[in-house]
Amino acid sequence: MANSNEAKLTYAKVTQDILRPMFKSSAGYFALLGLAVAIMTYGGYCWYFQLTRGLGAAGYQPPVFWGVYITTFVFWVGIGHAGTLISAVLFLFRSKWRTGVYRASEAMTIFAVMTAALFPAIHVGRAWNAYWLFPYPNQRQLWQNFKSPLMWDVFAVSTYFSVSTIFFYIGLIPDIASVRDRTCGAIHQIYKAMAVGWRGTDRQWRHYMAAYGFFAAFATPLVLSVHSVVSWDFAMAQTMGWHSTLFPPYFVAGAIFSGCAMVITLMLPLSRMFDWDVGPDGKQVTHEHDKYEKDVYIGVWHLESLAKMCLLTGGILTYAYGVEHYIAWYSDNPYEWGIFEYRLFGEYDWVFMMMVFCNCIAPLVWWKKSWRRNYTILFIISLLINVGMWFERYNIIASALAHQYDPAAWTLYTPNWVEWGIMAGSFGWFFVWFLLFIRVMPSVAIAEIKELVRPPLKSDEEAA
Amino acid sequence: MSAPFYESTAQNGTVKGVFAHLDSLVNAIDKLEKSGIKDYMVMSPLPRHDLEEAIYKGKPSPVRWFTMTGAIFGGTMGFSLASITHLNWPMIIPAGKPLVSIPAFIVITFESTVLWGCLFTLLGMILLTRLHTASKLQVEVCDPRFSDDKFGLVINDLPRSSAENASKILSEEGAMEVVNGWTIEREENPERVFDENSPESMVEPDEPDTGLLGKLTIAVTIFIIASFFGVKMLHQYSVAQSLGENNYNYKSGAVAPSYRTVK
Repeated sequence: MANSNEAKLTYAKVTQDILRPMFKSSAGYFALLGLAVAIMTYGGYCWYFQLTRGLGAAGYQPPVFWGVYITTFVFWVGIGHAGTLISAVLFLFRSKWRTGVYRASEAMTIFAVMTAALFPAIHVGRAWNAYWLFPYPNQRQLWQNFKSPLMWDVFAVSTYFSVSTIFFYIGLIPDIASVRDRTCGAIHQIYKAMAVGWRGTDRQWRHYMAAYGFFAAFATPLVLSVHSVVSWDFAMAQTMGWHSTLFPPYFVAGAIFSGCAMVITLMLPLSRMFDWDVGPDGKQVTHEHDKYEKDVYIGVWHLESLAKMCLLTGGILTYAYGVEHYIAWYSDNPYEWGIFEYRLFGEYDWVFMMMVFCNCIAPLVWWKKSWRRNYTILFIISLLINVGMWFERYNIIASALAHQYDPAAWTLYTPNWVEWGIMAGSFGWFFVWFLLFIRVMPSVAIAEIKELVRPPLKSDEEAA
Repeated sequence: MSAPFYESTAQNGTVKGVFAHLDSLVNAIDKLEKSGIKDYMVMSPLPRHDLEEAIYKGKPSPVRWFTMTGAIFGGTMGFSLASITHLNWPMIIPAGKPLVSIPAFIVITFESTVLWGCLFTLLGMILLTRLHTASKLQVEVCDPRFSDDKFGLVINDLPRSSAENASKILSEEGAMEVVNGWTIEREENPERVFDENSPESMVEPDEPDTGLLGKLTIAVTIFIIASFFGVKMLHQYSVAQSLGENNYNYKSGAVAPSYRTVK
């Protein structure tokens, strides 16, 4: 948006364009929201079923006690990473394409981590005791084992959620103030309270921007650390197929890969729905008509940049798959190679094939420029990556537990309807939050977009 | 969406200028400073480095001290939490593995550093921007145009002659609207009567409250030092004592089968 847009975008137009879609709802929007609520309710019923009947209601097959719940937990934590990468890391790098997409991606992060945080509680069975995970003084003087990777994970995910939420809300304050100044009545009172008296004074901006930089700096190592810690849940265990030093970088790359794909999945319909990819000439920016691609809020340029992120991280991921199998073979450890052989040729071979097809092969079409700028191809491939990344986690977790050291204990784990229902319900829960968010909050950062617009200058007017 | 009704006004002694152009505002700030007016507030819909430079002359925000204090506090607290609790319930693992294991506690320490660093930065930001009292900001500042596309400048506590001088500077530099509180015609008596001889303090003084910052830093530092000693004292007295009662010489570093099996 920085280039060649003098006199095209003004501060007033930015405010108007971004606030226009708020509070306006169409039948299609309510249909989507209704669908999301219905799926969430079904997931809620499945969880109720499991709570009342115990964990036996889930399809666990001893010794496989980590199944769909942990898979989906890792999936949602991974989805969250792209939002923080876009909002914090690319902020520090002063990347221009991030500005249009960062607000909604960050919202996606918060909702994804909120979804992920449900799963440890679902997985432990007695969800009402889930607060035992957190350290607090108690009369029996019992404390958690801080040497356990599971405890690290509690700290990592809860810190990640807290820091992301602070970062997100702080970023929202000036834009909420903008909404407050353009509403009246009860809605005005709500936004007035949420804007906490923001008026954009010099003092406020000065300390705000300093603090914002620090939040970004704190969130940056979290992008790398959270999924490293999640990967240690597996890599610290003496389980073949898990016990590897490759896991942290492999998981982080996978998280950013799946997260960027999810951002494409969400941003593409969002920009179409709100006309945020319409250039100053009133035409939609597409591959054929890309004169104003940098002058729109979310357009083909932003989505293409996300696709490039996917190509990079997908390449790292493909390399990790290869190295993982090569090292297992080269180690000459029959147990280690046994698991990888089982993943390739055993009962879970279709999971492995899904993972390789969706994560390694399908995104390759994005190497062709016109294909990664085509909305249909972008959307389909991003959906495939989301599916593939879920199967990757399923492949890692289920296969390694089903075939451990003792062949007498081998089993085949297949999720039952309760587990599938809760997994589907998590998508409903996520989309309910996201759909509500895009209607009640400015889903593009108003103040930051204004920073990219050339400011109104007297000298410009005199020169003209 | 419709905007709430707002009438541009100013109280006695206050001058408010509204600018459509950024360069006019920056020039006005420079000129005001030259004429000796240092206390003013500038409103803008977006953060601008040129404004910050004109007002604060490159002086960095003290938020960073809150960040550093919070990060040190969090790191210390995370490591202390893990160490103290492990020393409090010693599960002695055979093969001489330490109770306080630095590699295992790095993750907790790191996460705690980040969390508390962020919380302190948030606290610092709220205190320094005065967000907790921002709802009481004066009416001149609360102009809805300042969150859209206009810039604003408000000067308080000006005697009548200085107010006229300031209004003149703002108009000359190209303000689209200048409101001088002294010259507004009011139907009723103004709520606030301005005494020219004893100017009140600014609603928002420019210098941050360093006294509060200093007190906070001292308090947190004392807490950090105390928690360091807390680890040491707990280790020396309570744990070693209870192990000593069980005839286990903890200080020798000898390998014990288990704390519970010593008896």
